[in-house]
Amino acid sequence: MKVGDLDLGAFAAELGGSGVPIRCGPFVTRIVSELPELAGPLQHLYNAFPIASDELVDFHVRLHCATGLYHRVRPRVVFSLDGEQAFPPALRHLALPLLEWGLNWCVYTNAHQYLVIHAAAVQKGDTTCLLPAVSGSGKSTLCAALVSRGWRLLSDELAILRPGDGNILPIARPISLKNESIEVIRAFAPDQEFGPLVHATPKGLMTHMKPPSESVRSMDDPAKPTHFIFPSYSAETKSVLSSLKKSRAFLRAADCSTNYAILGRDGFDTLADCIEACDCYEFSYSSLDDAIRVFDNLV
Amino acid sequence: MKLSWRQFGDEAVVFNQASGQTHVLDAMSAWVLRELEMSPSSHDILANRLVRDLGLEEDLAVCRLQEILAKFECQGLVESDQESA
Repeated sequence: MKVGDLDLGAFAAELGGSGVPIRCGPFVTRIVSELPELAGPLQHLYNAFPIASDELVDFHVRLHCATGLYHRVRPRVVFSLDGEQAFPPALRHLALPLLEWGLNWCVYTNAHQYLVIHAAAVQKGDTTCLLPAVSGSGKSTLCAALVSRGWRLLSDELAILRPGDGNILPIARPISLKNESIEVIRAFAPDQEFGPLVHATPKGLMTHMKPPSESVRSMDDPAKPTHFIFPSYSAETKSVLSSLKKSRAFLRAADCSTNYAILGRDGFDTLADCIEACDCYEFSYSSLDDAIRVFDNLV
Repeated sequence: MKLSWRQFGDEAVVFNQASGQTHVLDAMSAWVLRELEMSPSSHDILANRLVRDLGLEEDLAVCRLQEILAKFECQGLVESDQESA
């Protein structure tokens, strides 16, 4: 059964009751939330994702209203993992971004059986690109643009590399867009579906692009990385793809990993195998049309 | 000290399991560290090998070796033994 197979009332009831165990790639997360306003957007963004049945749950998360007099005046929500509050309470209108940040946090603080890299990952044909980048580099904008032009979404935020074979395990969750990039992608890809606009988040205006159903359906098919590409958006630049020494790519990718240091030798071997097998580039861009052409030429 | 190596073109990436640090080494630095990984050595012996095996001029070999060893020491990749040096 998929999230979208339930009608909204049933989904909201499950969410507010025992929770909905949603499977995203290798992780099953049981989400419980008593916030009625969360059910609609969550079901819309995750409607193609499977509801886990008998599988073990990796993360038990809950979004609930903060208690106390102060929080009655300015309602806030709490994200908790396994009953423990993970972050300070956030204003209630931030519930959806808080849930998305929380789900990322669950992965990068716990999933140390994998090498986790702060990176988007996309695939077309036999070409699989990892796009590691720090926040604000235009990674998600580029990822959303590529996905809207037929690239398979493997990941927007956290790429999961499996030690041993070095494959990316897709999680294909919604793509987070911020500020100017929202209108840029809406104009570039008017057929795509989006979640609600959320104002005044710590990162500004936010929304989420719904992942293509096909990417979600193929979530169980791992992908072998072929290219490491470090993107950066600059309004003043033409699209330039320039070769990057593998040793430099290694250090930059390690810097973008959330658990390279924790994994020690396994992290080194996994990343080294991956870099060895990939072509490595820096990519600066301003035009999404040009960027798509450059990426399509890699296929 | 246990090191893991990966050669990428003319540079090597080395992971020091004791410190958890990762370092990028140019060809000569990698050569020196591999020599020291096989067995401890003195500055003079290493300089002579650099001259003999890599064809460096003696003055240049001595000078570069000092730089490389000082950097390795800062990075915790080697320890100097002043008595035997």
